Amino acid sequence: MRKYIVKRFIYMIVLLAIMSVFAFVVIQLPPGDYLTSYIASLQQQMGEVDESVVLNLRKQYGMDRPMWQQYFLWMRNMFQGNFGESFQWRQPVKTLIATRMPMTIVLSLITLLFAYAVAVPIGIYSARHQYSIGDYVASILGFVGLATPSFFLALILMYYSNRYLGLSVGGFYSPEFQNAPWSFARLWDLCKHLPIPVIVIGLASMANVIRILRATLLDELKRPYVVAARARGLKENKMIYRYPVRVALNPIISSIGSILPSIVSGATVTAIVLDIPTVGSLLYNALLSQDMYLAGACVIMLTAITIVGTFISDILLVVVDPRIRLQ
Amino acid sequence: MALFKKKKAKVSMEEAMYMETQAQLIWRKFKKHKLAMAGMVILIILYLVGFFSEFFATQDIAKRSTTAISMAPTKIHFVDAEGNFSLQPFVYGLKQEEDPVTWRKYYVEDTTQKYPLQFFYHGDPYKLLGFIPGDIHFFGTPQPDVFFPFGTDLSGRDLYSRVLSALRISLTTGLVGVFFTFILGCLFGGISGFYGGIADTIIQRVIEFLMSMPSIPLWMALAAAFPSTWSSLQTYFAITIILSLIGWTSLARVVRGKLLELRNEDFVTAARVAGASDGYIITKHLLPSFSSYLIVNVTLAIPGMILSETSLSFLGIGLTPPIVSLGVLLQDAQSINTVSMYPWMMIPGLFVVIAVLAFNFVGDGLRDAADPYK
Amino acid sequence: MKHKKLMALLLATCMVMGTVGCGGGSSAPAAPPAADGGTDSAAADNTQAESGSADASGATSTGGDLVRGGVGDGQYKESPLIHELVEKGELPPIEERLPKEPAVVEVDEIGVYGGTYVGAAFGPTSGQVDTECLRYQSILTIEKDLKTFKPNLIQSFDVNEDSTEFTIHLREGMKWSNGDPFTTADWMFWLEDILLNTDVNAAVDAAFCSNGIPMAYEPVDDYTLVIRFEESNPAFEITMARFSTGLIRNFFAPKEYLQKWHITYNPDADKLAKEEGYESWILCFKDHLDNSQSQKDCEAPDLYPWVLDRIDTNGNKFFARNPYYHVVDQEGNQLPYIDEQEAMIVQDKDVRNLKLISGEIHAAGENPLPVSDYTMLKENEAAGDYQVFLFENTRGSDCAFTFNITDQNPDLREVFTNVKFRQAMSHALDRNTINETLYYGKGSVRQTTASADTSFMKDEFENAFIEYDVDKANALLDECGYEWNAAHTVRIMPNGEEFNIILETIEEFVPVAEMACEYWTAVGVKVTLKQEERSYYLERGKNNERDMQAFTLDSVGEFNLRSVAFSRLRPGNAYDDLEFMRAYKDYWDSNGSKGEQPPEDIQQLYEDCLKFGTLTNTDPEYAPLGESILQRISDQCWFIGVSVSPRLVIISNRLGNTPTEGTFANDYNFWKPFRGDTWYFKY
Repeated sequence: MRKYIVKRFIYMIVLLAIMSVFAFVVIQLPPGDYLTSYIASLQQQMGEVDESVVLNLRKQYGMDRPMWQQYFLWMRNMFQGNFGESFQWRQPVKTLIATRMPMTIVLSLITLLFAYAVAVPIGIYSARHQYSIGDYVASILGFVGLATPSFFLALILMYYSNRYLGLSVGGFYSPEFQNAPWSFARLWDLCKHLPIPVIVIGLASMANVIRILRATLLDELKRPYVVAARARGLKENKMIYRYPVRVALNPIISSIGSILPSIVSGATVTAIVLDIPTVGSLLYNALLSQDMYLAGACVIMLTAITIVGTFISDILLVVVDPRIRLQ
Repeated sequence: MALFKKKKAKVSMEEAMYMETQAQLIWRKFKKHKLAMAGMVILIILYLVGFFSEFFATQDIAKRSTTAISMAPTKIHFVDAEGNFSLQPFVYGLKQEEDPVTWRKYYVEDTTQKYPLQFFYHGDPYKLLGFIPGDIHFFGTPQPDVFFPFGTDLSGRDLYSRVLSALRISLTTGLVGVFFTFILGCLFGGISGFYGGIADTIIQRVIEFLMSMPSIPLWMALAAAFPSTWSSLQTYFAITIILSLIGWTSLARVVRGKLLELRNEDFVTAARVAGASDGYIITKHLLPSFSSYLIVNVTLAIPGMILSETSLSFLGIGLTPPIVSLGVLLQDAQSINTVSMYPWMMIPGLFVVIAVLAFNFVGDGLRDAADPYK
Repeated sequence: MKHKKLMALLLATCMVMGTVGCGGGSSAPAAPPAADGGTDSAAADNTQAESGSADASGATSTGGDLVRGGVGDGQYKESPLIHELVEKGELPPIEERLPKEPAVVEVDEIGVYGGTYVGAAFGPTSGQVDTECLRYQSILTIEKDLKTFKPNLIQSFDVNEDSTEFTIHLREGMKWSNGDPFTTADWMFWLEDILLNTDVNAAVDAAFCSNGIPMAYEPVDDYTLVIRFEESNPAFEITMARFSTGLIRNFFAPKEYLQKWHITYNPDADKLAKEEGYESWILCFKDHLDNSQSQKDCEAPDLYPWVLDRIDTNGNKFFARNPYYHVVDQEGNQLPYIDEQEAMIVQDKDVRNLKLISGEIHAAGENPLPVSDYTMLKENEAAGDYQVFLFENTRGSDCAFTFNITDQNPDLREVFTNVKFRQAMSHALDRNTINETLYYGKGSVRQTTASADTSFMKDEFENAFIEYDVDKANALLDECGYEWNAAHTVRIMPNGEEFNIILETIEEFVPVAEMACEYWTAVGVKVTLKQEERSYYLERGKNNERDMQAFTLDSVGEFNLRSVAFSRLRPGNAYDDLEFMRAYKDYWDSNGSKGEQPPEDIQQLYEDCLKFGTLTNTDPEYAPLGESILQRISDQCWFIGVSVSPRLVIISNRLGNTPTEGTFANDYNFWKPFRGDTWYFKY
């Protein structure tokens, strides 16, 4: 088992390394660069910017070096804990990511929990009552979440919560708690702001979980051991939760790896609409303004969430499922 | 006698079942899945209406009317102002008025102007599918600017006609992406599952790599990298192909899994012993034996494409006006303005939900029916 | 056994979460009734607030208590907040902080000290005009009539007869926000070590030059300075009253504070820069120098009413009151009234709208609020406790279309250089319907030219080729020889291909461009719209890759025409967003080594525009030359305009001394004439 974990760990590192090259290439693809857009915004606000100012800026930010040099420079700095400076924010990228990463992970985790918490009971119910009205209703509700474009749902929920619940929109906190020290009031304020993003992002992944659970459970319910258990007179509920459900949950754990990227992506779109400070919305604005150090670091961080998440789910699976451990 | 006949009939039906083809068996099982059936019917209607949208529309999709800006869906009446009932529904003419303070446009029914609604009337001329000229519309009134079943948008265009037209684009463009997904998925899944070994390892790693990538940044970066001489439709197709380049992974896994299962089956060994080539075995023996799974997977991939189209439009890198797709219409509606004052402009969103749901249920029904011997 | 427990725990968690989730779901439908109560009470709050007197204390989200009038026994009074610090001995008394003769502002109402003003920031380093322009102070003020200038950061100035010498008298005893004296040394530092230092500033902005030669400073004493130009520069007064972005700080910089990062004053500046994480002293120095929207040094002193105090982790910026601010009201209360400014980062437009209609943002105007949002904003006035005003707009046109007359494609260039083609395209637009459809019919339809209030403006310039006349458009196109194809669906270009012009623009102008394309297609000229991301759009413009573009034409008020040599109407100066003769621009910029030589008439126009820049508005040549330039631009029909709509300006009802009408334009730095330092919170 230790060997397995070590192997997985090395593999994770390799994946991260490939991802860094990839992230660098991706952020280099679009034409133009940060300075172009910086100047564009200056022009829009106030008027002309002298051409000489532009040349000056370009030289100072090292934009005139070849691309591969810029990559190795970037990687070297990253290993030294220096992620570079965000042009757009004029702050170290490290600080920007560090302040947004915890909430991004928390949001992803809560969303994941929410998706499972709602999907698992529905999935079990659906499988046990295949083709019943309840099955249909549950499936429809589950799939409506999947079928609604998340940016649209986010906007609607945001409007109504602002209008009728008086919630301040944008961000995780109301303005008065934004920079306040931690307190119960602040925590409560955070709790009030979390449901919308969690629901919007979670709904999209929920249907997948329902589907996987329902299918696996249906398979399990037909197995001879279930028939045998029934024949021995085990109580139906006890029997189902003790054996088939347990087996059916394994694929769920292994599906974390495939659901995480969609949560991260969904969280990006949702965060843009809701204007909440996660790495996702940071990335979106960074890409729009060609803030390449920031964009690159964001891509790496977001992919790291999914890669590390998959790693953890693999390890978890080994712990939970003895069959894999024995292999 | 009658009793005997009945018994005989039953027996023959059972016998018939054993003689049915796999497709027939799947269909039999599929019919049991009520949601899937409903989804199927809805999809057929949506495709029909979308395909012949010019005929089903009430007017030209590009026509604007300054007298009908941001108009709510038209009320259809059966009883007129005097209380007379008529079986033929009708609409009243509407007079535009403006709030002097907020500039809000509102519309007052003019009960002296009455326009009966009818089937197959002569309205705006069109070219069906781009080449069959005509001017007959399915249902509405020949009087222009009075009948808007879904209301109008901010510049006075009929939303109903636009939604129908959008359906055609949105429901078909995704198919291109799915087509490529299918080819790539079968190819790489096939190689991986059939040959195993190093090829399998490499492909599996590539799949894991692609799966762990959040798609949003990739889309955005790529969209900006396309040549600007491309029209937005070309750009969109290019993105769709890219989407399928990273989206084939799940299909490939299914194919691989099934192949691994089937590879050691006796009939494959038999074929190999008989000297059949690899390609022959894959295409003639292996693929057909799990084609139903492929169909399921493809069906479930289409709604993803439809949703991707709307997301791309939201990010400003998908289709753009004057092309009318559900994503474009939704992008128009994506504002506080719409949500707070003109809720009917969100109707395109409803159609996205309906179409995606229908595809999902059909896919689920197919999945349940895919293994008819279970 | 252990696993069993783990499983049970997992399941239990799932169940609990499930019920919580369901609970959350079921509470949503129940929301509306509760919400009704919410709006009712909000409305009640409003009425109470309106009827209540202005000095009603408490019940605000602005935090600190609001106190009318300042504290102090002498001639000048100060904010209680500052007074506390003075009593503690952390600040000198007000008499020592103010200059000998402070600037006096006649306010409508004596304000109340306190509160935090919140304005939206579109990004961390951009789109902060709704806070910055309320804060910014120039050497001279632009008064509300938009014509007169008054000394602001200086006591007074004299000009010699031919406008080559400006003698500046500083305010004696005036100080930077950190208490350092503000003297001619700061001016000299800026000129010699910033403007003319090629490491810091590669080239001198045209605003500080006459005939290409930079201005010179000559200090007479600590408070007197002479600014010299080689050639007459009558528009320099405007330069002193406006601010531009060519440089981060203009005219002067805090020498005392900045010199330790400058290599001239500190040989170890490079070492210091490395310690602070910079690669060279230049970058480090520039960051400390920066007081623009991308300012990051929270210590850097300034002369503004509020100076940057802190930036939080989300990038929101807070500006605290400057205790040394040189302006007092007519009763001697030191300004500003408002304690603090916050530039709150809101990057999404819908979130911004929601914050506006719920009153979280106190004023908005720049980065145009679309006219189409008017109804929504207006209907929510009561709920958000604000008012929407319609201000004058000095743009040449809210959206202008230009054809690239130096297009790289010779076939297209042939078409675009044909003036009849451009006129036909202008006649093909139904501007009234566009106005009706997109701007509630509230815009005024006009051709793109200088601002309507320009003194030498004529109706014929505004109305050139704007009547909607399909027949005339068709006739003109026929004259050009662009025949229809066989199916009579589209016209044929001289090279035998069907017309299909790509029109490039950004999101803001898509609605109007979309409509225009329909009209052009109707006369046989197919125009395909392509929406692009802003920076990409600009990049293509710089590389002369666009065939046709749509963008706003602003900064063409008389102010700008005078101070920047006919501004954006000067050939080759339409900016990257609207430039349509890039090859000629390159020619002029490179003194003929790059680009293409422009034809004679355009060259003449270019030279006349430059000449116009050196005239005073009392010069007898001034008006005739301006008119002649406009006439020629109008005849060329280079810019196809649509209309100009009023500017939407939103101001919270809680603020006092705020404008209710006026002009809101880039020409006058938007909010600046309306003096943010005199605003105050009524409740």
